Amino acid sequence: MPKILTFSKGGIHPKDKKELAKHKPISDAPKPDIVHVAIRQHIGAPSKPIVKPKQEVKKGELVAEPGGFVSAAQHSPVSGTVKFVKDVPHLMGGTVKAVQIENDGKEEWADGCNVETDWQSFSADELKEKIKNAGIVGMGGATFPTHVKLSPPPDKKIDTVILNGIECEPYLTCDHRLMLEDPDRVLQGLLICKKILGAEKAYVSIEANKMDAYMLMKEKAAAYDGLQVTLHKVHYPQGAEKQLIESINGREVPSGGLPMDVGCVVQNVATAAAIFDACAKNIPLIERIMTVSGDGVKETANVRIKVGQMLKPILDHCGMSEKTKKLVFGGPMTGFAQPDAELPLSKGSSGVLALIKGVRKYEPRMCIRCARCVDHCPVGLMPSMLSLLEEAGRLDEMEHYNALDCIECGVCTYICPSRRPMVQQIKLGKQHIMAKRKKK
Amino acid sequence: MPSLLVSNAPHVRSQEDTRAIMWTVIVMLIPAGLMGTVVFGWYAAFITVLSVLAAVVSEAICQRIRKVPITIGDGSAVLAGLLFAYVIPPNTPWYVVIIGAASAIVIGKHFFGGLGCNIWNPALVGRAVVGAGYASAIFLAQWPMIRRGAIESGTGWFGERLAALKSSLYNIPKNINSEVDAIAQASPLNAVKHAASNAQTMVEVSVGQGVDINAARDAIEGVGGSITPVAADAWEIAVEPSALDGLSNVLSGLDGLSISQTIAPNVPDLVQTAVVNGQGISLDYWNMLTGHQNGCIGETSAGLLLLGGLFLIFLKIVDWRIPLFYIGTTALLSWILPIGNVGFFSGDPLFSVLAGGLMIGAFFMATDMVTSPMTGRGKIVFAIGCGVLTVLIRNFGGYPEGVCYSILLMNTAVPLIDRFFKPRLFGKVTK
Repeated sequence: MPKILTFSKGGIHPKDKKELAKHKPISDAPKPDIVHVAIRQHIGAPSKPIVKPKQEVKKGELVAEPGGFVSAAQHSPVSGTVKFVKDVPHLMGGTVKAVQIENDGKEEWADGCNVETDWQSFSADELKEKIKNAGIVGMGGATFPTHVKLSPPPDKKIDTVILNGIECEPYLTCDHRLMLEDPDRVLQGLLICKKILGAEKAYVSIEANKMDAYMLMKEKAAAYDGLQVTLHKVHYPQGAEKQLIESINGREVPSGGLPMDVGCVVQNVATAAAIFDACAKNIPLIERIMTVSGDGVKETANVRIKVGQMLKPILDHCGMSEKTKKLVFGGPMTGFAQPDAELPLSKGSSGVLALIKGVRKYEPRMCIRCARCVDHCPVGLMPSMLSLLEEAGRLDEMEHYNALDCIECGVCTYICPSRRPMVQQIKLGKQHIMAKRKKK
Repeated sequence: MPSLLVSNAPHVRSQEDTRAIMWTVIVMLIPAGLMGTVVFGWYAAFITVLSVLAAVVSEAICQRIRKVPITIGDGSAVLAGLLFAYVIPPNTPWYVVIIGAASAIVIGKHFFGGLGCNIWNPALVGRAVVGAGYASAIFLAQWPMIRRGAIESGTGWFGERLAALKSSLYNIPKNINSEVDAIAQASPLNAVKHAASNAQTMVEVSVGQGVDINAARDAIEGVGGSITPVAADAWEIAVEPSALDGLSNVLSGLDGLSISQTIAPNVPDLVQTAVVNGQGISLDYWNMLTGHQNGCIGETSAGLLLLGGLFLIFLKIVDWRIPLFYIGTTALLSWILPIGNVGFFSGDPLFSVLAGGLMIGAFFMATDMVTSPMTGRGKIVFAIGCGVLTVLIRNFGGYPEGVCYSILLMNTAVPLIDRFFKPRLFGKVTK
C-alpha cells in the first residue's frame, strides 16, 4: 500500500456520493442548435468579441480576444453563423454578454485546428503562447487563466508542478473519468507544464476513493521520466491548492502569497488535457467533461459538453425529475444554486447536480461558540468570530481575524450546528476589505 | 417543476445540530441526578424538576419580553436549570430554587442577549446569586446526609439504597427543619478544611527508665504539647506544627526521652479520621466515587458524572482538554499546596478530585461552549486557570469549595484568552 498523504489542519469528511456517477463512461452531450459563448468565463478582464452578426465561423475559430493579460480568448465550439451578441444569465447571478452562434451541424474545423504536431519541437515560450491562444483557464472551477499561472515572474523559481486529480468535491466524477479514459493526454499535459516551468518534480495527485484511476495513472506514469503519482486521504478540502501542496511536500504557501512563492504550480487534470490538445493538436478549449449527478436525475452521466451549450437540454437528456428541489452548478461544497436551467455552460462547468433529498432552507441560529468551525478550518481561522463581526457590521475588524486568508471551502458552514452561513459572511467581509484596499 | 431553492454554498450540511448537542448533554447528566435522588430522597428530585421548570418558564418570559422567537425546545434552558439544581444542597428551600433558576436565565443569560451572548455560565450565576442572597441555605456548615434508613435498613449496597428510597417516599420534607430522618454532617471538603486548620504534628517519644515524669510533662505542656501515653514506655505528643521546634528543644533538654518518630499532619490521614469521625460512614474513595458522600444533588456521584463526561468526550461534544487540565491541575496543586496546619506536599490528590463539585465543574460547567475559549491552547490555559483558582479558594479562601467561583472568574477571562490564543494561521510568516 502506498503512503496516503493529507494536509495537517482541520477538514471534514462529507459523504462523497461519487458512486452515483463514477461508473458512467464519458458520453457526448446532445448536439446544441445554438451556443452562447460568454465573454466572462474566467477570473480577470472580460474578453472582447471580435465577430459581427451573420458572420460565418468555423469550429475552433476565435470569437473573442483576451481583454488583457489576465484574461482569456474565447472560441466557437461549433461551425455556424453568429446571430448577435446578447446578455445571458451568469451562473453567479446577473448577466454576461455572450456571442450567440447558430450551429450548422457540420463541425467544420477552422484553418490549422485539429492538426497533429509534435509539441516537443516547440520552445517553452511557444508552448505558453499556444496555451494563451487556446483560451485555457483552470478547469477545476477557479477558472484562472492558465497562461498566467504558467508565467511566474523570473525571480520565482518553480521546482514542482502538481496536477490536481483530487476532485474532493462530493458527487463530481468528471476528473476521475478523464484520468481513467484519457490518462496519456493528462500526463502529456503535465509534461508540457513541466517543460514550460522548467520544474524538476511533477506529481499527479489522486484521492483514495479513486483507486482505479490511481493504479492506472501510476502504471502510465512509469513510462515517462520524472512523473510521480501520489495517493491522498479522502478528506475535504484535500484538493484545495494550498492544502494539496502542503500534503505533498510540506511547504506552506505564505499567508497572502501564491503557490509560486513556495516554488509550486498546481493545475487541474482537465486543464492538463486541454493544454495537451492546444499544444499537440492546436485545438482551443471548446469542450470539456461535466458530471451530471444527484438524486434528481434519472441517468447520471459524465458528458462531453461544448462550452456555451445550454444546460436545459442536457438535464432533459439525463431525465431531471420534476421533484428536483435544488440545481447546483459545481460541487455541493462550493457550487452555485441556480433558479433555473436556462443558462449556458462554461469552461469551469465541472458538474451540475439536481438534488431532492435533504434539501432544505437552513435558519441560522445564535452562535453557541462550540468552536467546531475553529477546529475544522483548514486555514486556522476563527470563522465564528468573523461571522459575528460581519453580523455586527464590523467589517473592518474582519481583516484582523485574517478574513483574506479564507479559501472559501465551506467547511465552517458545513459543520456549524447552528447553521450559520459563515463562508458567505466571510466572502462579504473579504469583498469589503478588498474594496477598501483599492480605494487606498 | 417546483420552484428551485436558491441558497448559498455549501449545499450539504453536517447532521449535527445545536439542539441535539444540548439534549445529549442533558441525557448524560440524568444518571447523576437519579443517584442524587436515591441518596438524598425525593425532595432532591422535586427541586431538580422545579429548577428546570423555573428555568424554562423564565426563558419563555424573557424571550416574550425581548420579542424574539421562543426557543425553549432547544434544551439550553433545561440544561441551565438542571445544572443549577445539581450545584445546590438537596434541602434547599423551594423558593430559593426558583429564585436561583430564574436568576440563572434572566441575569445569567438574557441580560447579555440570550443564548451565545452570555459571559458567565448561567447555572453558576444562579448559584452565585443564591449564594449571596441565601447564604445560610447554600453554604451549610452541616449538610443533610444520606438518610439514616439507608444506613440502618436494607442489606447490601443496592438494598440499602432501595430501602432509603422507600422510606423517603413516606417522608417528603416540608422544609429543612423537618428533615428529621437525616444525619447532619459537614461536607467532606468542609470537614477536611476544618480538620486541617486544627491538625497537629504527632511526635512519638520513647520514655526511658528514671525519667522525671512530672517534670517532663510540665515542660512539654509548657510549650503546647499534649501527651497521650500509648504504652508503658511510649508517649504520643500532639503539638501545633509551629510549636514543633520549641518541643524539640524541650525534649533534647530532658534526659531519658528520645523522639522515635515525627508525623507531620497530612490530608490523607485527615480524610480517614476527621471526615469519618462519629458519622458511621467511612469516606473512602470508593464511596465518594459511587455517590455515597454528601454534597449537592448532582455533585455527589463523581463516578456517574465521570462516565457521562467521558461519553460526551467520546461523542466529541465536550473537548477533552478542559476536563483533563482542570482536574489535573487541581489534583497536582492540592497535593503541593498547604492547607491549614498541613504543610507543602502533603495533600490528597484523589480526595480533592472526588470531593465537592470538581467532576460536574470540569465536565459540565467549565466545558460550556458559550463561556469557554474556542481554541485548543486557549482551552488549556482556561482549564489550568480554573484548577489554580479552585485550589487557592479551597485551601486559602473563605469557602470550602472553589469550583463555582473559579469557573466564573475564568469565564470572565475568556474574551481575553480568545484574543491571545488564536489558532495558528496556515502559512503565517514568522518574522
